[in-house]
Amino acid sequence: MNNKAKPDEVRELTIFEVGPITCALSIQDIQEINKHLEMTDVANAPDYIRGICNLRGAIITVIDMRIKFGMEPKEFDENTRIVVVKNQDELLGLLVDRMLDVLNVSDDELEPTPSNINGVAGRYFSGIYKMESSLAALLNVSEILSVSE
Amino acid sequence: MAIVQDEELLQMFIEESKEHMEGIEADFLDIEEMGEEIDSDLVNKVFRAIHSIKGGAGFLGLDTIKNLSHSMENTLNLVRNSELIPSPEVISTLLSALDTLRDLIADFMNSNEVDISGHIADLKMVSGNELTEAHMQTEAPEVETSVADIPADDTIASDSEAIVSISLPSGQVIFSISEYDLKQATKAGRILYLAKFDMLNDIERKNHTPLDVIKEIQDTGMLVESKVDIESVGTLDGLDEHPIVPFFVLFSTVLEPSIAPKLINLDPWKMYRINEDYLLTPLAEAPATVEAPPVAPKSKGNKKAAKKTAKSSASAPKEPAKTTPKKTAPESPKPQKAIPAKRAAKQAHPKISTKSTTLRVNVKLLDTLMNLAGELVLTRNQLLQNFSKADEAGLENAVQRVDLITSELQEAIMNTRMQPIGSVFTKFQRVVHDMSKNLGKQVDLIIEGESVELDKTIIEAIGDPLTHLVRNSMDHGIEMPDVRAKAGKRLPAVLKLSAFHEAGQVNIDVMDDGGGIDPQVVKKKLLENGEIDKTKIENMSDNELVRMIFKPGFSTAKEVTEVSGRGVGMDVVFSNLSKLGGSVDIESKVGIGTTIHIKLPLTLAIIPSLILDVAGGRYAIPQVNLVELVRIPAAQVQERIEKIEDASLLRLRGELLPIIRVSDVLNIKRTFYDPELGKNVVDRRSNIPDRRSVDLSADTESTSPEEIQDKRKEAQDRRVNANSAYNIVVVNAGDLNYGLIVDALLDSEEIVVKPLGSHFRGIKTYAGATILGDGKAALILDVMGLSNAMNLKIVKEKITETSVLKKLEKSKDAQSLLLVQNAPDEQFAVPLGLVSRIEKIKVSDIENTSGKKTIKYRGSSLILCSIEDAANVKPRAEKEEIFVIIFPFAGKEVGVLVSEIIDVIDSTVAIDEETFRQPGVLGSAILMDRTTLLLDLYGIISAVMPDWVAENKLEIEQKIEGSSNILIVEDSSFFLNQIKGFTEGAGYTVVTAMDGIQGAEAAENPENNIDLILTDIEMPQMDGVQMTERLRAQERFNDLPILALTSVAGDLAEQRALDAGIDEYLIKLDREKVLERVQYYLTNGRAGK
Repeated sequence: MNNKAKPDEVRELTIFEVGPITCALSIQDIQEINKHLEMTDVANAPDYIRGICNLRGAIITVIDMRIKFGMEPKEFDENTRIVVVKNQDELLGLLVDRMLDVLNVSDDELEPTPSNINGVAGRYFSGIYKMESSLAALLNVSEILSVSE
Repeated sequence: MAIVQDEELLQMFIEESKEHMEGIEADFLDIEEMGEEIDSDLVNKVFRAIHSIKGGAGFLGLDTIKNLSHSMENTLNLVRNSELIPSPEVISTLLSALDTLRDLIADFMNSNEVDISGHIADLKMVSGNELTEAHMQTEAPEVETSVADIPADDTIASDSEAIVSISLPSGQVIFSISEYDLKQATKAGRILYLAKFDMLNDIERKNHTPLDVIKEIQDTGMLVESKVDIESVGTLDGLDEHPIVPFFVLFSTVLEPSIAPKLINLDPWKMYRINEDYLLTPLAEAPATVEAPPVAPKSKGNKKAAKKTAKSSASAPKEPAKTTPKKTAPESPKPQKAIPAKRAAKQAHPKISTKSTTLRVNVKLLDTLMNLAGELVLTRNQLLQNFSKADEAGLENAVQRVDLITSELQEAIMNTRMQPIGSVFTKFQRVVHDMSKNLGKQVDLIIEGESVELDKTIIEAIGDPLTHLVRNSMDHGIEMPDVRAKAGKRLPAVLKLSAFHEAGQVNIDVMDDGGGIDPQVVKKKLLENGEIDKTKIENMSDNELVRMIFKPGFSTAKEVTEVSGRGVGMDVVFSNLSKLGGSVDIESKVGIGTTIHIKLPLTLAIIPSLILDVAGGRYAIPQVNLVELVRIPAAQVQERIEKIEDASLLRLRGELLPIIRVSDVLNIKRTFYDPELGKNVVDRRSNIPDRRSVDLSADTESTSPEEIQDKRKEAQDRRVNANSAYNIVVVNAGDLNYGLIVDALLDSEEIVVKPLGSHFRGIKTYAGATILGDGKAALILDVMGLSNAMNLKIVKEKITETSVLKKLEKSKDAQSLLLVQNAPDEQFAVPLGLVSRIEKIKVSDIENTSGKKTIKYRGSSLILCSIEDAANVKPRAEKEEIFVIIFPFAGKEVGVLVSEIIDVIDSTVAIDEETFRQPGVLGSAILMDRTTLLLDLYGIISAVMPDWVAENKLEIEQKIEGSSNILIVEDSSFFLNQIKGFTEGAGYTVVTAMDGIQGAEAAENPENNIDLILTDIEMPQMDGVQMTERLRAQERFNDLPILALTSVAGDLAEQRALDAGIDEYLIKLDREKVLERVQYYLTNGRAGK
């Protein structure tokens, strides 16, 4: 388990972009990041589902983060990435526009989500991290991946 | 004692215990049945099973389980020694104890809190008399004199059992054991030993587990008690540098003290012999060096070692000084937030799922797997090598090997998952036993085919549905004994479970000889419910009514009982089995019984499927759901697809099938390739039959052409334009067949089913996903879900029946013909009924041996004939790949070569016998606007291989004793001549008639002395059925075999014919079969049927 953890908690955050939003995800939540996976459309599926794809023999559901955040979908380009995360024993992919960075962040630098962020995307954030020039929203994976009724 | 915290060990114990308990119920019932004459092997088996559970539980600190199994063991021991007769009462007590034991083991973490005193008291009571008696005779006196220290207030002590303390010379009390147990253990000259293992040095370092030790002991002796002395660890660890975790085992064996230590691989000084006074003497003096531990990590490594011991051997809690399990959690390392804390909490309470997560595999099978894995690695190397060298031949070789090995590997791995169904079946012995008692019924359970193997997942999933069916049969099906007696039915009633393989599927039948399901009761109930249209109910046949019990919310039970009949049930059974890819059918006769047929796939993991294309996406349909593939040429669309209200229907051999577009169900935009525009555009036609109607209301929005076109370019078999043919996949969803319109049929593939993610849970149209050969994911369509989504219903049977009959009357003698080509401009036809298979072969694979053409086919040589060898036709077109039409001849198979398969059509066209008549050709007809020669397959063979045919003929002639008279009734002179030709050729005397009236007259004429009639069905004036009815009405024709000759199309009329008294339905030009059946009926008469 976590042997290296130091007294003041430091975590590594992966920073990426979805439309105009800069998002962060703890590296521990991420299984891998994929560049190109061939998608299969699933008709009749919820709109935020981009499709399914084959990740080395496992079928993963790919969620379009842009649609989750209430934006228009976008064609794949060379920056598009699929962030593979694990949620309750199920592998899922998050379709993001571009990877930016990996940062070491101490827990004290994380701040709770400001109460004035309450748009469509607001509930998917569990905190805000101040980077040098901008802010990154820490994603609440289980909320994003929860199956909406 | 605390419960040992080692997940692996606990899991092992649970699994072993489950295995031990598996067959026990049935064994108990057998023991009960045998009564006084016990089968000591059987009792021993049960005894050993319970004993092993006791041993394991004792070791793991599961005291309640140990105590209960101990009491059971005691009772069983009395049975084994014939001191107790296994009366139903005894067995019932044991069974109920077994139930509790099973529950305890399933929830072992809390087992120590469960109160089992009731069971122990019951067990004592049933074995009470004998136990006290035994004690009185043999042990009681000794108890008085020899036992030194009986703990006065020991809770386990009972009036019949004295307690003995086994203590080390140091005075430490290790075990407190009932003296009775010790006496039992020391019977037959066995010597009692106490062994003190050091968990670290004697077990862990020797790569053993404590269970291994116990097993070794049980092989040669009898285990009395075992425990890990955790208390002593605490004290030792506190002040000592070399912690010892002692594991004490008390056992008895006949082995002498000099060999006994070797048995358990322990130093003699760690063993004590226990004499009759329960005093201990070490078998050897402890060596001087012992005080220092053999492997003594000094102070520094020491603590670590202790921890390791504790952890890996699971003998002690991880925090040595503490003994409660809660405190065994590793120090929650850092004050981390949320997640780590949760994880730590999880570890503190290792939760072991009761569903078995491991599987026992035959070592041989494992070896095979290893072998194959090795082969695979070698082949991969070969592949890599050849690839880098660009060695094409080598590459091909390697690819072939990979192909082979993969199939073998797949098979071997599937085999590891296969389990006999017996494990499910045997538990019903108990169910039936208990239920017969509760219900006051007498029932015999018969089990057949318990060795039939099924995939593990199916075995696990099938238990509940089967239980439900068995309970239903017991509760509703089988009558009370007095009712049965009145009805003159046998007692006890029979409930039969049987399993067998058939056509790649496993069949399970649940059969009872009870009262059956009365369709009228079902009908009444349906009418009461009012959910289904009244006229529809009235129109239902008995079978349909009985099947309604599979519909939700249906129960015919007169009253709701505890056992079953809560109004839910059969529908759940139905849907559960459907989910497994299986099907259920029911057959029931009032007063005679009910049989439920279940069909299940052998495995769920890999299934053969058809891959299809819908709007550029690929989908899979499991082959088990497929009925047939139909291609409707553009020219026939109008005629064969009809529209009623909003539904489209396909006319298929007289049946009306609902058809739907897959793209409609999935809400995908339909597209097609427009040759004028040179790109794909949205298909706006919504009306299936009318291919030219334009419905602008839908799909008016245009698609981005580039995007679609990209996907399409590779697609081969696409619609060339909007007027092209329809591909329809006819599938079966329970009792409903329907057609799916797809864009193209791509391939048949074995796919591995993968589950879809949780986000797709609400979507019923998919059964899962799979990965295709190119690595892309594809969805598997759920035919049940599709039909539900489109709300499809069966087209009423009655209507189709009458329309079929009408259609048959119109188009009499419709003949299914296979159209083929040999030379490019000559078309031939072969009656489809004669063809067993069509194969595609390479010309280069044909071998010429002794003047005959052959090809290797399914492990033997298949003889091939060319049409041009027999008939004066143009030679076959030069092609690399050609087709072989394979048909049976004289018990073998023969192939006829053709260059092209064109189509299968149903034709009613008259056949001209004169114009083109020649060897190998029966006649000609105009089919699809072309002169088509009707091939005489037998003629071709007799022309190419005259010897063979002569031999065959001789054989048939020899079989016929004397000459028999056959009446052939047939209105088409073409067929009449054909049939007459081959029956006369076989040596029969033939009388002919051209219609039913003539036929009946000929048969009634005593001069003809007819022995058998071959008749056509569709004839003018009087058809074959009417003729048969007329003849059967006369008593003298009761024994006359009447065989109908038909031409494949119109199968539905068959039932009518059989009802009229026709013995068998044969295909007109299937000479082999006709002759064989004729001879059969002439020899055996109608009774032989």
